[in-house]
Amino acid sequence: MTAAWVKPALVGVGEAVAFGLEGELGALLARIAVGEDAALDYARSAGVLAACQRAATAPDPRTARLPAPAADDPQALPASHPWVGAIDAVFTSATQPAGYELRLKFEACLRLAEAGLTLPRARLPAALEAGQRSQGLRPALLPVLGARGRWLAALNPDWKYAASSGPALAAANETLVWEDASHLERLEYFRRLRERDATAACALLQSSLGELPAKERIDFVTAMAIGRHPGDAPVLEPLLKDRSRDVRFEAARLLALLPDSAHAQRLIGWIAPLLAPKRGLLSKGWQLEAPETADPAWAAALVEVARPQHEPLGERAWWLYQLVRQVPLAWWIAHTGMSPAELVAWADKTDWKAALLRGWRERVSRHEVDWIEALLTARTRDARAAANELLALLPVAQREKHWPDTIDALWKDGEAHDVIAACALGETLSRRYSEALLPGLYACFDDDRLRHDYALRGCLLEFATLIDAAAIGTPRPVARRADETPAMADCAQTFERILLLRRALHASP
Amino acid sequence: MGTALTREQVLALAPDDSSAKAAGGLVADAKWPTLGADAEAVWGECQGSGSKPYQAQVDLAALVSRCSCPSRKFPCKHGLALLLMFAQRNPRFAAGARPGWVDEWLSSRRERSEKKEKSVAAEADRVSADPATAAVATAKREAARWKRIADGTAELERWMADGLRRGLGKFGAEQRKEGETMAARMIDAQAPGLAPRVRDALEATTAGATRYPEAIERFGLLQLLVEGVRRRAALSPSRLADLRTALGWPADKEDVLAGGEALADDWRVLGQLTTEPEAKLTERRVWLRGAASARYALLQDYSYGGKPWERAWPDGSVHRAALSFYPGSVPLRAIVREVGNVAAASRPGADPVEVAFDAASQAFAANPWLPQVPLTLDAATPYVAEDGWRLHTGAGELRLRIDTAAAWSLLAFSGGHPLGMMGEWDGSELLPLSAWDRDGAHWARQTDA
Repeated sequence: MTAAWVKPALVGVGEAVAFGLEGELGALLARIAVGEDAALDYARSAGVLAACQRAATAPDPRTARLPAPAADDPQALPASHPWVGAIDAVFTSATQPAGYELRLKFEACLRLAEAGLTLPRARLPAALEAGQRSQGLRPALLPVLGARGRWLAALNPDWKYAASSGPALAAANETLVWEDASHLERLEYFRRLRERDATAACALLQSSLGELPAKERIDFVTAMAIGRHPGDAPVLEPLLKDRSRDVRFEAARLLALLPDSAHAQRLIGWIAPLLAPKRGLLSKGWQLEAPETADPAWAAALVEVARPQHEPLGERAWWLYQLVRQVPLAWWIAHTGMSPAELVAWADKTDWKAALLRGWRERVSRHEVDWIEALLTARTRDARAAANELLALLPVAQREKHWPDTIDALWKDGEAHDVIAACALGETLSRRYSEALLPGLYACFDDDRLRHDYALRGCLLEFATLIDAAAIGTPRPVARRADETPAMADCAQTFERILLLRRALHASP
Repeated sequence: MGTALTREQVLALAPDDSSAKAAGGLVADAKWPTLGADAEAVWGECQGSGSKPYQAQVDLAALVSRCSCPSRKFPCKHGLALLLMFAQRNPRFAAGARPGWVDEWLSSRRERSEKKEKSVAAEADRVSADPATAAVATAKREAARWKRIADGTAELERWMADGLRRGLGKFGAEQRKEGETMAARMIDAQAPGLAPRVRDALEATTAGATRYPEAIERFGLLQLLVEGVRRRAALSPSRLADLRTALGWPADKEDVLAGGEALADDWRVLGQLTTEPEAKLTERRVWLRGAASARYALLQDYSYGGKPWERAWPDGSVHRAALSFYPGSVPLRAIVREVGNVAAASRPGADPVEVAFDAASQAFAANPWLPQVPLTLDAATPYVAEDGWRLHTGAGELRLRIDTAAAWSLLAFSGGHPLGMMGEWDGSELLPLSAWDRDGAHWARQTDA
């Protein structure tokens, strides 16, 4: 249909339309145009032309430049592999992604990576979509996408996060990586560089700081904790005046750990005079005082003089707490000769207990296990909330000592969700603890609580993903109540399915 | 059938994703206290929530299943799980004595199909008993229907001419409403095939300037149908058949079985799709191609209210069967007369793009009302262009009609490498139904979508 033919039909066929065709087709059009009704004649001619158009069917002659095809994936999960069924089931797109789905996907990715395999191509779109929805899945997903997955991701703007990861990046020219890569890739590269050559990483960060937005600056500054050394101070010192509050605090925390830095010296200079040896008649101990007056120099060290409006601590305690949260914990041990447990017990008896404990909890890191254990024993009004944060710093096996070992007790005290929250993606409970919990999990299905307690239903499913794989054994059908509701049945089936899938994934390949 | 059944073929039977997922969860020995198989069927008892296990069974010849569970899905998760375990060659399916409940079902299926054959034969007997009277009655019925169609299409012709006189550019809400009424009028006029054609043409007038040529072409083809109805007495038998098919009045199944062109061959299932043209009505189109004849055949079935299909046709399977073709200038639609054993599967044959398009062009030239023709292309690379999904071939490009999820799954399957591909070509877009790569792996539109 040419424009000249189309036009009369758009504006209205008032008179005979000349199609201007010669040969047989022209003769045919002339013959069927009877002339009584121009519109009818047009309709007939359009029919003839449409029939010709259909007969002339052909591909569009334009040819685009195709993207280069994906490289082969010799490590893709073969169709005959025993995991195929489980991987398919885990990566079937779920309409409502629940927490346990994410954990299953994460675990499946880890298992594939451990076996040196990548996802089968049929599952790639669902996997990439899952990664699009959940950032948490990405660290496990990226290594098992294979060349095909990265190729596919590059074609979809929604999957950009996965487009250029993988070994190709590590091998690429490093300056190129730094200049062209995404934030996460640069961060990953920076971490590796910190491990390898901390000074070079420092220089790289310093040269790029000016162009980084605050959200990215904080990630890089946090990564400076890797391979900490005295040479970091010149980079970190100016960051105490950074526009972003988070960056200022992170820099201050790191500087405090560098004993020779001016910042660390200043802190010690302020805190040490507050802590004085006390010689009693029978024993010697330590006496702590909060600062009497504010020091104007504090401002440069991120200690605020003005107490916030809703701050529960008193003014002097507020000053003390701000110093304590920066001073490295090791200083307290070195200065007093007491162990973390003794220090916590000592703090409990001082007038400044709340400020001390709060500061220490903020200062403690996952490497200071003695401190975490000691701080967990402290009884304060906010102990419950604080305990969760402290527990999250401990390795799973050490956390379990602090939890009851039946699901009933966990549920009653509201700690079940703490257990779930404490396990990072890909982390499971210890075998011993799992074995203690499992019978109770099974027993829940025979219990009428499940009828109304939808939160417990969700919780059981997450626990099914947290049980140590070796403790699963041979999953047995759960006991089901004769009067179960569809939601109970659904929960029971999903529970069984999760255990079966996980067992299949942990069966030796 | 047993040795040929694969996991993909089983999953292709699943009515939806959630059934496939649920079935995956049931693939565990512990769930199945009993399992068994023989040459004709597999069966098993699955422990469900009740005290009595569900009895699931599958007729292997037709891949039709039955289960005592209350699910309305078909096949249900138990039937699927049973087949999945069978496809995994679970050793517990050792040949064994068939329990009573399996035997009962299989014989009832056999009886039903015998009864059906008998009733067809009885009907044939009745007709042949008094051919003259029957022929007169048929002719009278047909004449009455032609009269109604002729009246209806004359109205359609007037409406279309009015629309062209007024100008399609001025089509507004009122004209669209009239068009809707006209589509409904075609059903009253016993030409139901015209209703969707009227709606498609109408839709093209409202889709913006780019689709006006398409609207004009669609109205033109409708005009040709109107002319055809008027000149029906002068048409050749095959042209008349083309016309009747387009009107939605295809030949009777019995007539096709009795007098249609019959062809025995090893028929490979190339691809298939099910659609829901109206609420509760499901249409299934299964495309076959003969190994010796290279002919295409279309098995078109309808099911109302989720009634199960009589037989499943897994992609890639090859059936030695005799088909009867519906009449027409381009006979594609066919009925299975009898189906024998499954023949050994080979690689699907594909045509070079030029050859495939030559055949498509011939088909559209012979019958411009064909809604689509099958295309099997030998080296086609799907890719995503700025204006949508496209297929690159050595001889040019095709636009793809495909939803986003299916498109990404096809792209993941290809990895940018050329594929063999089968689909329906409607003259402007290809609806891909299946694809295969150089290693013989298979992609299907529905199972992976």
